[in-house]
Amino acid sequence: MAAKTELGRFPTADRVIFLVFLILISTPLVVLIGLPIPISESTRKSYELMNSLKSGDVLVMCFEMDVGAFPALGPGDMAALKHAFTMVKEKGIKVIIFGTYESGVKIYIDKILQETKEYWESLNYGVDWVNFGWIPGHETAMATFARDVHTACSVDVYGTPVDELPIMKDIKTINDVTGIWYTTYSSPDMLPRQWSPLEWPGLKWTICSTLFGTVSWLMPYVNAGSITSYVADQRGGAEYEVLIGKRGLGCKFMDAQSLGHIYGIALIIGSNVYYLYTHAKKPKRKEE
Amino acid sequence: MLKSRNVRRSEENMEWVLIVEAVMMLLIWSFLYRESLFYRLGEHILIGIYLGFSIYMGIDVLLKRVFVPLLSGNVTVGLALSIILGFLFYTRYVKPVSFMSRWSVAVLTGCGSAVAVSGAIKAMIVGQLPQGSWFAEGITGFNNFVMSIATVFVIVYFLFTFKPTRLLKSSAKFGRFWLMICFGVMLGTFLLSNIGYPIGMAMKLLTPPALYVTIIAILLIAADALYRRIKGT
Repeated sequence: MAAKTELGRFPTADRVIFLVFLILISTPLVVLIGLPIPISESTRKSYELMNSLKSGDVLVMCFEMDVGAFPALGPGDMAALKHAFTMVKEKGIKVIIFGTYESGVKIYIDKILQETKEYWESLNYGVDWVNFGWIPGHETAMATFARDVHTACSVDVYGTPVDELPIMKDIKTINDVTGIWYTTYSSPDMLPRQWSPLEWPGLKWTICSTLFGTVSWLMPYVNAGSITSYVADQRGGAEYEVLIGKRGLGCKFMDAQSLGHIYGIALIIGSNVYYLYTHAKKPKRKEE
Repeated sequence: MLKSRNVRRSEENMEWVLIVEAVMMLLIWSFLYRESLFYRLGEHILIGIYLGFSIYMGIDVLLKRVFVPLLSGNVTVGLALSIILGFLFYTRYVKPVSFMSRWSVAVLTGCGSAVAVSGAIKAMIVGQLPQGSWFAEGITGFNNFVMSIATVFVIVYFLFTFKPTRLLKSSAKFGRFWLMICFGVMLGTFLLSNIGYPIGMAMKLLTPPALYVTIIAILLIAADALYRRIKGT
Protein backbone atom coordinates (compact mmCIF):
# COMPACT_ATOMS: atom_id res chain seq x y z
CA MET A 1 0.00 0.00 0.00
CA ALA A 2 1.32 3.44 -0.88
CA ALA A 3 2.51 5.57 2.01
CA LYS A 4 0.28 8.53 2.84
CA THR A 5 2.00 11.72 1.78
CA GLU A 6 1.63 14.86 3.81
CA LEU A 7 0.09 17.88 2.14
CA GLY A 8 2.43 20.86 2.37
CA ARG A 9 2.23 24.62 2.15
CA PHE A 10 4.53 27.53 1.43
CA PRO A 11 5.99 29.66 4.25
CA THR A 12 3.89 32.75 5.03
CA ALA A 13 6.50 35.13 3.51
CA ASP A 14 6.35 33.27 0.17
CA ARG A 15 2.56 33.36 0.19
CA VAL A 16 2.56 37.10 0.82
CA ILE A 17 5.06 37.58 -2.05
CA PHE A 18 2.78 35.61 -4.43
CA LEU A 19 -0.34 37.41 -3.23
CA VAL A 20 1.21 40.87 -3.72
CA PHE A 21 2.43 39.77 -7.16
CA LEU A 22 -1.04 38.57 -8.19
CA ILE A 23 -2.66 41.79 -6.97
CA LEU A 24 0.00 43.87 -8.76
CA ILE A 25 -0.38 42.15 -12.12
CA SER A 26 -4.18 41.99 -11.89
CA THR A 27 -4.72 45.68 -11.14
CA PRO A 28 -3.65 47.07 -14.56
CA LEU A 29 -5.74 44.38 -16.28
CA VAL A 30 -8.81 45.88 -14.62
CA VAL A 31 -7.78 49.56 -14.44
CA LEU A 32 -5.79 50.38 -17.58
CA ILE A 33 -2.74 52.57 -16.87
CA GLY A 34 -1.83 53.01 -20.56
CA LEU A 35 1.95 53.31 -20.39
CA PRO A 36 3.46 54.20 -23.79
CA ILE A 37 4.91 51.36 -25.89
CA PRO A 38 8.04 52.56 -27.72
CA ILE A 39 9.00 50.36 -30.68
CA SER A 40 12.36 48.60 -30.41
CA GLU A 41 14.70 48.44 -33.39
CA SER A 42 14.49 44.64 -33.64
CA THR A 43 10.67 44.55 -33.75
CA ARG A 44 10.60 47.35 -36.34
CA LYS A 45 13.11 45.46 -38.47
CA SER A 46 11.03 42.27 -38.15
CA TYR A 47 7.90 44.14 -39.22
CA GLU A 48 9.71 45.68 -42.20
CA LEU A 49 11.03 42.28 -43.27
CA MET A 50 7.54 40.79 -43.13
CA ASN A 51 6.13 43.81 -44.93
CA SER A 52 8.72 43.46 -47.72
CA LEU A 53 7.09 40.23 -48.94
CA LYS A 54 5.79 40.49 -52.50
CA SER A 55 3.25 38.60 -54.59
CA GLY A 56 4.17 34.93 -54.88
CA ASP A 57 6.64 35.04 -51.98
CA VAL A 58 6.41 32.16 -49.51
CA LEU A 59 6.36 32.74 -45.75
CA VAL A 60 6.91 29.81 -43.37
CA MET A 61 5.57 30.23 -39.85
CA CYS A 62 7.03 27.59 -37.56
CA PHE A 63 5.81 27.49 -33.96
CA GLU A 64 8.07 25.44 -31.66
CA MET A 65 6.08 25.59 -28.48
CA ASP A 66 3.27 24.33 -26.31
CA VAL A 67 -0.01 26.08 -25.62
CA GLY A 68 1.27 26.81 -22.08
CA ALA A 69 3.51 29.53 -23.53
CA PHE A 70 0.55 31.25 -25.17
CA PRO A 71 0.43 34.22 -22.74
CA ALA A 72 4.09 35.06 -23.42
CA LEU A 73 4.45 34.49 -27.15
CA GLY A 74 0.87 34.23 -28.36
CA PRO A 75 0.32 38.00 -28.77
CA GLY A 76 3.35 38.31 -31.09
CA ASP A 77 2.41 35.24 -33.08
CA MET A 78 -1.18 36.34 -33.50
CA ALA A 79 -0.07 39.81 -34.62
CA ALA A 80 2.32 38.23 -37.13
CA LEU A 81 -0.41 35.85 -38.35
CA LYS A 82 -2.84 38.76 -38.81
CA HIS A 83 -0.14 40.63 -40.72
CA ALA A 84 0.64 37.57 -42.85
CA PHE A 85 -3.01 36.81 -43.69
CA THR A 86 -3.61 40.48 -44.54
CA MET A 87 -0.66 40.28 -46.95
CA VAL A 88 -2.09 37.09 -48.44
CA LYS A 89 -5.23 39.05 -49.25
CA GLU A 90 -3.56 42.29 -50.36
CA LYS A 91 -0.29 41.16 -51.95
CA GLY A 92 -0.85 37.49 -52.76
CA ILE A 93 1.88 35.94 -50.61
CA LYS A 94 1.68 32.26 -49.55
CA VAL A 95 1.76 31.10 -45.93
CA ILE A 96 2.84 27.68 -44.64
CA ILE A 97 2.18 26.90 -40.97
CA PHE A 98 3.56 24.04 -38.86
CA GLY A 99 5.57 23.13 -35.75
CA THR A 100 8.06 20.34 -35.05
CA TYR A 101 8.80 20.57 -31.34
CA GLU A 102 6.17 18.40 -29.64
CA SER A 103 2.59 17.27 -30.05
CA GLY A 104 1.29 20.26 -28.03
CA VAL A 105 2.22 22.43 -31.01
CA LYS A 106 -1.04 21.39 -32.66
CA ILE A 107 -3.17 22.83 -29.84
CA TYR A 108 -1.13 26.04 -29.94
CA ILE A 109 -1.62 26.42 -33.70
CA ASP A 110 -5.34 25.67 -33.35
CA LYS A 111 -5.56 28.30 -30.60
CA ILE A 112 -3.89 31.11 -32.55
CA LEU A 113 -5.85 30.23 -35.68
CA GLN A 114 -9.07 30.35 -33.68
CA GLU A 115 -8.13 33.81 -32.42
CA THR A 116 -7.33 35.06 -35.95
CA LYS A 117 -10.26 33.36 -37.67
CA GLU A 118 -11.65 36.51 -39.31
CA TYR A 119 -8.36 37.00 -41.17
CA TRP A 120 -8.15 33.56 -42.82
CA GLU A 121 -11.82 32.67 -43.17
CA SER A 122 -12.16 34.26 -46.58
CA LEU A 123 -8.87 32.85 -47.87
CA ASN A 124 -8.57 29.73 -49.98
CA TYR A 125 -7.11 26.93 -47.88
CA GLY A 126 -4.52 24.88 -49.77
CA VAL A 127 -4.03 27.65 -52.32
CA ASP A 128 -3.26 30.75 -50.21
CA TRP A 129 -2.20 29.07 -47.00
CA VAL A 130 -1.76 25.64 -45.49
CA ASN A 131 -1.46 24.15 -42.00
CA PHE A 132 0.69 21.03 -41.53
CA GLY A 133 0.16 20.92 -37.75
CA TRP A 134 2.76 18.91 -35.89
CA ILE A 135 5.60 17.42 -37.94
CA PRO A 136 7.42 15.03 -35.59
CA GLY A 137 11.19 15.03 -35.34
CA HIS A 138 12.09 18.55 -34.20
CA GLU A 139 15.56 19.38 -35.58
CA THR A 140 15.61 16.35 -37.87
CA ALA A 141 12.26 17.45 -39.29
CA MET A 142 13.64 20.96 -39.79
CA ALA A 143 16.67 19.58 -41.62
CA THR A 144 14.39 17.45 -43.81
CA PHE A 145 12.16 20.44 -44.53
CA ALA A 146 15.19 22.41 -45.71
CA ARG A 147 16.26 19.73 -48.18
CA ASP A 148 12.97 18.11 -49.20
CA VAL A 149 9.80 19.98 -48.25
CA HIS A 150 7.46 17.33 -49.66
CA THR A 151 8.98 14.57 -47.53
CA ALA A 152 8.81 16.63 -44.34
CA CYS A 153 5.29 17.89 -45.05
CA SER A 154 3.82 14.74 -46.60
CA VAL A 155 0.25 15.38 -45.33
CA ASP A 156 -1.46 18.46 -43.93
CA VAL A 157 -3.29 18.61 -40.61
CA TYR A 158 -6.47 17.23 -42.24
CA GLY A 159 -4.69 14.32 -43.89
CA THR A 160 -4.56 15.83 -47.40
CA PRO A 161 -1.46 14.56 -49.27
CA VAL A 162 1.02 17.32 -50.16
CA ASP A 163 0.67 16.58 -53.89
CA GLU A 164 -3.00 17.59 -53.73
CA LEU A 165 -2.18 21.02 -52.23
CA PRO A 166 -1.71 23.58 -55.04
CA ILE A 167 0.27 25.95 -52.78
CA MET A 168 3.01 23.33 -52.39
CA LYS A 169 3.46 22.65 -56.12
CA ASP A 170 6.56 24.83 -56.58
CA ILE A 171 7.96 24.61 -53.06
CA LYS A 172 10.54 21.84 -53.12
CA THR A 173 13.34 23.02 -50.80
CA ILE A 174 13.88 25.88 -48.37
CA ASN A 175 15.40 27.86 -51.25
CA ASP A 176 11.82 28.30 -52.52
CA VAL A 177 10.87 29.98 -49.24
CA THR A 178 11.38 33.76 -48.92
CA GLY A 179 11.17 34.26 -45.16
CA ILE A 180 10.66 32.35 -41.93
CA TRP A 181 8.87 33.41 -38.75
CA TYR A 182 10.15 31.01 -36.09
CA THR A 183 8.72 31.03 -32.57
CA THR A 184 10.42 29.14 -29.77
CA TYR A 185 10.03 29.06 -26.00
CA SER A 186 13.17 26.99 -25.54
CA SER A 187 16.46 26.91 -27.44
CA PRO A 188 16.79 29.05 -30.58
CA ASP A 189 19.87 27.06 -31.71
CA MET A 190 17.96 24.94 -34.23
CA LEU A 191 17.01 27.94 -36.36
CA PRO A 192 20.55 29.06 -37.36
CA ARG A 193 21.73 25.44 -37.45
CA GLN A 194 19.15 24.33 -40.02
CA TRP A 195 17.57 27.39 -41.62
CA SER A 196 20.28 30.01 -41.86
CA PRO A 197 19.94 32.57 -44.69
CA LEU A 198 23.75 32.42 -44.96
CA GLU A 199 23.50 28.73 -45.78
CA TRP A 200 20.50 28.77 -48.15
CA PRO A 201 20.77 31.42 -50.90
CA GLY A 202 17.02 31.37 -51.70
CA LEU A 203 16.02 32.10 -48.11
CA LYS A 204 16.12 35.89 -47.64
CA TRP A 205 15.58 36.23 -43.90
CA THR A 206 14.54 34.58 -40.65
CA ILE A 207 12.81 36.16 -37.65
CA CYS A 208 12.94 34.52 -34.23
CA SER A 209 10.12 35.27 -31.81
CA THR A 210 11.25 34.22 -28.36
CA LEU A 211 11.27 34.84 -24.61
CA PHE A 212 13.31 37.65 -23.01
CA GLY A 213 15.53 35.08 -21.36
CA THR A 214 16.55 33.70 -24.74
CA VAL A 215 17.43 37.04 -26.36
CA SER A 216 20.97 37.09 -24.96
CA TRP A 217 21.27 33.52 -26.26
CA LEU A 218 20.33 34.41 -29.84
CA MET A 219 22.22 37.74 -30.10
CA PRO A 220 25.47 36.11 -31.35
CA TYR A 221 23.43 34.58 -34.20
CA VAL A 222 21.79 37.93 -35.01
CA ASN A 223 25.21 39.63 -35.04
CA ALA A 224 26.57 36.91 -37.32
CA GLY A 225 23.56 37.19 -39.65
CA SER A 226 22.38 33.59 -39.28
CA ILE A 227 19.19 35.00 -37.70
CA THR A 228 18.10 38.24 -39.35
CA SER A 229 15.93 39.74 -36.61
CA TYR A 230 13.94 38.88 -33.50
CA VAL A 231 10.77 39.76 -31.60
CA ALA A 232 11.18 39.58 -27.83
CA ASP A 233 8.43 38.12 -25.67
CA GLN A 234 5.09 39.79 -24.83
CA ARG A 235 6.77 43.18 -25.17
CA GLY A 236 7.80 42.46 -28.78
CA GLY A 237 4.28 41.17 -29.43
CA ALA A 238 2.78 44.41 -28.14
CA GLU A 239 5.17 46.44 -30.31
CA TYR A 240 4.20 44.35 -33.34
CA GLU A 241 0.52 44.95 -32.59
CA VAL A 242 1.19 48.70 -32.54
CA LEU A 243 3.07 48.48 -35.85
CA ILE A 244 0.27 46.66 -37.66
CA GLY A 245 -2.28 49.01 -36.06
CA LYS A 246 -4.24 46.24 -34.36
CA ARG A 247 -3.83 46.56 -30.61
CA GLY A 248 -4.66 43.29 -28.88
CA LEU A 249 -3.64 41.07 -25.99
CA GLY A 250 0.02 42.14 -26.06
CA CYS A 251 -0.78 45.82 -25.46
CA LYS A 252 -3.21 44.89 -22.67
CA PHE A 253 -0.47 42.90 -20.92
CA MET A 254 2.17 45.63 -21.05
CA ASP A 255 1.14 47.63 -17.96
CA ALA A 256 0.90 44.46 -15.91
CA GLN A 257 4.27 43.32 -17.17
CA SER A 258 5.93 46.64 -16.30
CA LEU A 259 4.60 46.42 -12.74
CA GLY A 260 5.59 42.75 -12.54
CA HIS A 261 9.13 43.57 -13.67
CA ILE A 262 9.48 46.42 -11.16
CA TYR A 263 8.26 44.05 -8.44
CA GLY A 264 10.68 41.32 -9.61
CA ILE A 265 13.65 43.72 -9.58
CA ALA A 266 12.63 45.06 -6.17
CA LEU A 267 12.46 41.48 -4.82
CA ILE A 268 15.92 40.65 -6.22
CA ILE A 269 17.45 43.80 -4.67
CA GLY A 270 15.49 43.37 -1.41
CA SER A 271 16.47 39.73 -0.95
CA ASN A 272 20.15 40.50 -1.65
CA VAL A 273 20.14 43.39 0.83
CA TYR A 274 18.44 41.15 3.40
CA TYR A 275 20.99 38.40 2.78
CA LEU A 276 23.94 40.78 3.13
CA TYR A 277 22.43 42.32 6.27
CA THR A 278 21.85 38.97 8.00
CA HIS A 279 25.21 37.66 6.75
CA ALA A 280 27.03 40.68 8.17
CA LYS A 281 25.35 40.21 11.54
CA LYS A 282 26.41 36.57 11.84
CA PRO A 283 29.76 36.01 13.60
CA LYS A 284 32.42 34.75 11.18
CA ARG A 285 33.47 31.11 11.59
CA LYS A 286 37.01 30.69 12.74
CA GLU A 287 39.32 28.83 10.34
CA GLU A 288 40.40 25.56 11.86
CA MET B 1 -11.64 21.41 -54.87
CA LEU B 2 -10.20 22.33 -51.53
CA LYS B 3 -12.56 24.16 -49.18
CA SER B 4 -11.66 26.65 -46.48
CA ARG B 5 -11.78 24.66 -43.26
CA ASN B 6 -12.50 25.89 -39.81
CA VAL B 7 -10.71 25.05 -36.60
CA ARG B 8 -12.87 22.39 -35.05
CA ARG B 9 -13.81 24.09 -31.81
CA SER B 10 -17.21 25.72 -32.27
CA GLU B 11 -18.12 29.20 -31.08
CA GLU B 12 -20.96 27.94 -28.83
CA ASN B 13 -18.58 25.83 -26.79
CA MET B 14 -16.16 28.69 -26.12
CA GLU B 15 -17.86 29.72 -22.85
CA TRP B 16 -17.52 26.21 -21.47
CA VAL B 17 -13.91 26.07 -22.63
CA LEU B 18 -13.17 29.30 -20.73
CA ILE B 19 -14.84 27.99 -17.57
CA VAL B 20 -12.95 24.69 -17.71
CA GLU B 21 -9.70 26.61 -18.36
CA ALA B 22 -10.35 28.81 -15.32
CA VAL B 23 -11.20 25.84 -13.08
CA MET B 24 -8.01 24.04 -14.10
CA MET B 25 -5.87 27.16 -13.58
CA LEU B 26 -7.35 27.79 -10.14
CA LEU B 27 -6.95 24.14 -9.12
CA ILE B 28 -3.23 24.42 -9.88
CA TRP B 29 -2.84 27.91 -8.45
CA SER B 30 -4.50 26.78 -5.22
CA PHE B 31 -1.05 25.39 -4.41
CA LEU B 32 0.03 28.96 -3.63
CA TYR B 33 -2.46 28.96 -0.75
CA ARG B 34 -1.71 25.43 0.41
CA GLU B 35 -1.41 21.97 -1.07
CA SER B 36 -4.85 20.44 -1.10
CA LEU B 37 -6.91 17.74 -2.70
CA PHE B 38 -8.05 20.32 -5.26
CA TYR B 39 -4.44 20.90 -6.30
CA ARG B 40 -3.77 17.17 -6.45
CA LEU B 41 -6.89 16.68 -8.58
CA GLY B 42 -5.79 19.42 -10.99
CA GLU B 43 -2.27 18.00 -11.15
CA HIS B 44 -3.49 14.49 -12.01
CA ILE B 45 -6.03 15.71 -14.55
CA LEU B 46 -3.42 17.85 -16.33
CA ILE B 47 -0.82 15.08 -16.50
CA GLY B 48 -3.48 12.61 -17.63
CA ILE B 49 -4.77 14.92 -20.35
CA TYR B 50 -1.25 15.69 -21.54
CA LEU B 51 -0.31 12.02 -21.80
CA GLY B 52 -3.62 11.16 -23.41
CA PHE B 53 -3.17 13.92 -25.95
CA SER B 54 0.39 12.80 -26.72
CA ILE B 55 -0.85 9.28 -27.40
CA TYR B 56 -3.66 10.63 -29.58
CA MET B 57 -1.20 12.75 -31.57
CA GLY B 58 1.19 9.81 -31.92
CA ILE B 59 -1.58 7.61 -33.30
CA ASP B 60 -2.82 10.44 -35.55
CA VAL B 61 0.64 10.93 -37.04
CA LEU B 62 1.12 7.17 -37.51
CA LEU B 63 -2.25 6.94 -39.21
CA LYS B 64 -1.66 9.83 -41.63
CA ARG B 65 2.03 9.35 -42.34
CA VAL B 66 2.46 5.57 -42.05
CA PHE B 67 -0.70 3.49 -42.27
CA VAL B 68 -2.46 5.45 -45.03
CA PRO B 69 0.60 5.40 -47.39
CA LEU B 70 1.19 1.76 -46.44
CA LEU B 71 -2.36 0.69 -47.29
CA SER B 72 -2.47 2.78 -50.46
CA GLY B 73 0.76 1.19 -51.69
CA ASN B 74 2.92 4.35 -51.56
CA VAL B 75 5.73 2.69 -49.66
CA THR B 76 9.14 4.32 -50.01
CA VAL B 77 12.45 2.91 -48.78
CA GLY B 78 12.58 5.57 -46.05
CA LEU B 79 9.08 4.72 -44.84
CA ALA B 80 9.81 0.97 -44.84
CA LEU B 81 13.02 1.52 -42.85
CA SER B 82 11.21 3.75 -40.35
CA ILE B 83 8.52 1.11 -39.81
CA ILE B 84 11.09 -1.65 -39.31
CA LEU B 85 13.15 0.47 -36.89
CA GLY B 86 9.97 1.48 -35.08
CA PHE B 87 8.97 -2.14 -34.54
CA LEU B 88 12.48 -3.02 -33.40
CA PHE B 89 11.92 -0.77 -30.36
CA TYR B 90 9.46 -3.35 -29.03
CA THR B 91 11.95 -6.22 -29.21
CA ARG B 92 13.20 -5.11 -25.80
CA TYR B 93 10.23 -6.98 -24.34
CA VAL B 94 11.42 -10.27 -25.90
CA LYS B 95 14.62 -11.24 -24.11
CA PRO B 96 16.40 -13.34 -26.80
CA VAL B 97 16.15 -10.50 -29.35
CA SER B 98 16.11 -7.52 -26.98
CA PHE B 99 19.51 -6.34 -28.29
CA MET B 100 17.77 -5.34 -31.54
CA SER B 101 15.99 -2.46 -29.81
CA ARG B 102 19.40 -0.79 -29.45
CA TRP B 103 19.67 -0.52 -33.23
CA SER B 104 16.70 1.83 -33.34
CA VAL B 105 18.13 3.88 -30.48
CA ALA B 106 21.51 3.97 -32.24
CA VAL B 107 19.98 5.19 -35.52
CA LEU B 108 17.89 7.83 -33.72
CA THR B 109 20.83 9.11 -31.68
CA GLY B 110 23.21 8.96 -34.65
CA CYS B 111 20.88 10.82 -37.00
CA GLY B 112 19.97 13.41 -34.38
CA SER B 113 23.62 14.09 -33.50
CA ALA B 114 24.69 14.17 -37.15
CA VAL B 115 21.98 16.66 -38.07
CA ALA B 116 22.74 18.89 -35.07
CA VAL B 117 26.54 18.77 -35.39
CA SER B 118 26.59 19.36 -39.14
CA GLY B 119 24.48 22.49 -38.68
CA ALA B 120 26.34 23.61 -35.57
CA ILE B 121 29.82 23.80 -37.12
CA LYS B 122 28.95 26.69 -39.40
CA ALA B 123 26.41 28.58 -37.29
CA MET B 124 27.89 28.11 -33.83
CA ILE B 125 31.64 27.95 -34.46
CA VAL B 126 32.77 29.20 -37.90
CA GLY B 127 30.00 31.82 -38.06
CA GLN B 128 31.01 33.28 -34.69
CA LEU B 129 34.72 33.73 -35.48
CA PRO B 130 34.54 36.87 -37.68
CA GLN B 131 32.73 38.77 -34.92
CA GLY B 132 35.74 39.12 -32.69
CA SER B 133 37.33 42.36 -34.00
CA TRP B 134 38.34 44.56 -31.06
CA PHE B 135 38.55 47.56 -33.39
CA ALA B 136 34.96 47.48 -34.60
CA GLU B 137 33.06 50.77 -34.43
CA GLY B 138 31.43 52.03 -31.25
CA ILE B 139 30.54 49.78 -28.36
CA THR B 140 30.83 46.66 -30.57
CA GLY B 141 34.64 46.76 -30.40
CA PHE B 142 34.55 46.91 -26.60
CA ASN B 143 31.92 44.13 -26.49
CA ASN B 144 34.10 41.94 -28.70
CA PHE B 145 37.08 42.62 -26.46
CA VAL B 146 35.12 41.59 -23.36
CA MET B 147 33.78 38.53 -25.20
CA SER B 148 37.28 37.39 -26.20
CA ILE B 149 38.70 37.87 -22.72
CA ALA B 150 35.72 36.13 -21.08
CA THR B 151 35.92 33.20 -23.54
CA VAL B 152 39.60 32.60 -22.75
CA PHE B 153 39.16 32.73 -18.98
CA VAL B 154 36.04 30.55 -18.98
CA ILE B 155 37.86 27.95 -21.07
CA VAL B 156 40.70 28.06 -18.51
CA TYR B 157 38.13 27.37 -15.77
CA PHE B 158 37.19 24.13 -17.52
CA LEU B 159 40.79 23.14 -18.23
CA PHE B 160 41.49 19.97 -16.29
CA THR B 161 44.33 18.59 -18.42
CA PHE B 162 47.21 20.43 -16.74
CA LYS B 163 48.32 20.56 -13.15
CA PRO B 164 46.94 23.85 -11.75
CA THR B 165 49.69 26.45 -11.38
CA ARG B 166 49.22 29.76 -9.59
CA LEU B 167 48.53 31.54 -12.91
CA LEU B 168 46.01 28.92 -14.00
CA LYS B 169 44.28 29.03 -10.63
CA SER B 170 43.83 32.81 -10.66
CA SER B 171 42.73 32.72 -14.32
CA ALA B 172 40.16 30.04 -13.47
CA LYS B 173 38.90 32.21 -10.63
CA PHE B 174 38.47 35.09 -13.06
CA GLY B 175 36.67 32.69 -15.44
CA ARG B 176 34.30 31.74 -12.63
CA PHE B 177 33.55 35.42 -12.17
CA TRP B 178 32.44 35.67 -15.83
CA LEU B 179 30.34 32.53 -15.47
CA MET B 180 28.59 34.02 -12.45
CA ILE B 181 27.77 37.19 -14.40
CA CYS B 182 26.45 35.13 -17.32
CA PHE B 183 24.30 32.87 -15.12
CA GLY B 184 23.01 35.90 -13.23
CA VAL B 185 21.93 37.57 -16.47
CA MET B 186 20.27 34.36 -17.69
CA LEU B 187 18.46 33.79 -14.39
CA GLY B 188 17.31 37.40 -14.19
CA THR B 189 16.00 37.54 -17.74
CA PHE B 190 14.27 34.15 -17.44
CA LEU B 191 12.65 35.21 -14.18
CA LEU B 192 11.37 38.40 -15.74
CA SER B 193 10.23 36.71 -18.95
CA ASN B 194 8.30 34.12 -16.95
CA ILE B 195 6.20 36.92 -15.48
CA GLY B 196 4.40 36.92 -18.83
CA TYR B 197 2.78 33.53 -18.10
CA PRO B 198 0.75 34.46 -14.99
CA ILE B 199 -0.20 37.81 -16.56
CA GLY B 200 -1.89 36.04 -19.47
CA MET B 201 -3.63 33.65 -17.12
CA ALA B 202 -4.72 36.41 -14.73
CA MET B 203 -6.26 38.19 -17.70
CA LYS B 204 -8.44 35.15 -18.38
CA LEU B 205 -9.40 34.78 -14.74
CA LEU B 206 -10.58 38.39 -14.59
CA THR B 207 -12.80 38.13 -17.67
CA PRO B 208 -16.36 36.68 -17.47
CA PRO B 209 -17.36 33.84 -17.35
CA ALA B 210 -14.02 32.81 -15.75
CA LEU B 211 -14.37 35.76 -13.32
CA TYR B 212 -17.32 34.03 -11.59
CA VAL B 213 -15.19 30.91 -11.05
CA THR B 214 -12.42 33.14 -9.62
CA ILE B 215 -14.86 34.76 -7.17
CA ILE B 216 -16.09 31.34 -6.00
CA ALA B 217 -12.46 30.21 -5.54
CA ILE B 218 -11.56 33.34 -3.49
CA LEU B 219 -14.64 32.82 -1.28
CA LEU B 220 -13.74 29.16 -0.73
CA ILE B 221 -10.15 30.06 0.21
CA ALA B 222 -11.37 32.81 2.56
CA ALA B 223 -13.81 30.40 4.21
CA ASP B 224 -11.11 27.77 4.61
CA ALA B 225 -8.66 30.30 6.10
CA LEU B 226 -11.33 31.49 8.56
CA TYR B 227 -12.27 27.92 9.50
CA ARG B 228 -8.63 27.05 10.13
CA ARG B 229 -8.12 30.17 12.25
CA ILE B 230 -11.16 29.34 14.40
CA LYS B 231 -10.08 25.71 14.66
CA GLY B 232 -6.52 26.78 15.39
CA THR B 233 -4.79 24.60 12.76
